Amino acid sequence: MITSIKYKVQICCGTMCYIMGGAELHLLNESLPSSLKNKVSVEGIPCFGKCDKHEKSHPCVLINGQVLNNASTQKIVNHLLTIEQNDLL
Amino acid sequence: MHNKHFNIEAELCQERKAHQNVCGDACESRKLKEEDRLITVLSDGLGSGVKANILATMTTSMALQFTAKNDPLERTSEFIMKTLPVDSKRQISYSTFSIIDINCFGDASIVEYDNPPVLIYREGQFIKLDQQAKTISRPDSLAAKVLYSHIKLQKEDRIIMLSDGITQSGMGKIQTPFGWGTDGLQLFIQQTIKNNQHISARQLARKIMQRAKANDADQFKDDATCQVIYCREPRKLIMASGPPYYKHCDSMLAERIDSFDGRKIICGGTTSKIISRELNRQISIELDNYQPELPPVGNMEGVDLITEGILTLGKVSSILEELTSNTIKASGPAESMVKMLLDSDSILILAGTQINNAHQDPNLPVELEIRRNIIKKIASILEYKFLKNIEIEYL
Repeated sequence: MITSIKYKVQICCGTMCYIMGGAELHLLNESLPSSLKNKVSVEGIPCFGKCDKHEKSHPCVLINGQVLNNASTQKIVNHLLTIEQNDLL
Repeated sequence: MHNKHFNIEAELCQERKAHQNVCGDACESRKLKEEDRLITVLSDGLGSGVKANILATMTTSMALQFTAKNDPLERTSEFIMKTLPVDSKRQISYSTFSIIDINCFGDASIVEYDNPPVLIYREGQFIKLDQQAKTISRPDSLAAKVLYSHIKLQKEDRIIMLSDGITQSGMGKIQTPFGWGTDGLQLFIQQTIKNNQHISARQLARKIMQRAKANDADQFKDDATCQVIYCREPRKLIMASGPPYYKHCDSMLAERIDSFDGRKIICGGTTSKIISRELNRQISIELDNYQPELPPVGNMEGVDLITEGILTLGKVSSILEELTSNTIKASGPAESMVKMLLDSDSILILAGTQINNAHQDPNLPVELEIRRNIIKKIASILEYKFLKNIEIEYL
């Protein structure tokens, strides 16, 4: 099978990110637009230490290894759409 | 509970008579840690329902207290017999009891009054106890016969205590006109242990109970209680939670987990990260099992369970606190941890003492308790309610 996964979304499963809204991000797959559906893989990752800093940045998500702070479903989708567009150009 | 020769696993399974709200049997075990002693008392109250429950509970707590205070068993049983009310019509006492007292050398003293005989299983056979009968006369009722016996327990011995709801299950059916009986039960136990030599006390108690329930066509005609005590090679478990205070202890922590002989739990995001780094093994987290309450579990080679830290521990502690039977139905990170804890005899907890700065924000939900407190709480429940052998090490 040819995999068409282009974007890897890793959601932090640490305590802080989880209670600050990361829990609902686990359902990201359900709110992806159809144009992105087959191109995105969603997985969990243990805490990667963003919460040690004093600035409030949770929940954190890694998209293709890049950190996205204060993530929400909408924010992730927007971000994915932007990089998708940039890639197409 | 352990001594030099073996660990003692004591597990209870109890069911009430159909259509009753409470169980009329009572069974309680107490572990005296300083003396390395285990006392178990099983009592069956006359009749069923609340009245029977009160009588049985009264008997068990009396017997437990007296035995724990090292009163001679003769005096204890005499005292109970004289205290308990006697049914005016039937001239029998209101409750029955069996007491087992196991000391640190594996010597067990057994007292039985009117319950089905206590069974002792050793290497495929049931041991016939050398019983001493003693009659206790009571002023206004029939004299009662109390049986005393002693036995030296060996490794792999099992003691099975029952109430008559089990032995009389299935009474009135064509195959078993007088109930399952002790013979039928013995055969069943022999068969079960033959099929699974190292069956845990918990499983055996449940198997006996399920079979008795089936005998009664799923509607118990009397309260049924089955307590199994198993002298076994301890099942070991290690649980690591929290990063060590000093960074140079990280590798030691990982090394201890890796080399531990037994099952392993890692509880905590940062802790699992440290161990993953030190052992150079990846952690993968599957997101397909969505449960909003707790963060998902992770997988790592060589570790049985990896969970998030403080939220999961909080849930574990509340499950353990509320648990009354030994069946856990739900599945989830906390539930699987509880199952693993209950399926072990000696548990070593490595508690890291480093404080997570991110959790010190007063705006956060109150569920974020202090790790050390919650670990202490879990340990004390496991130790006193479930009679586990717990060791905590702070790093």
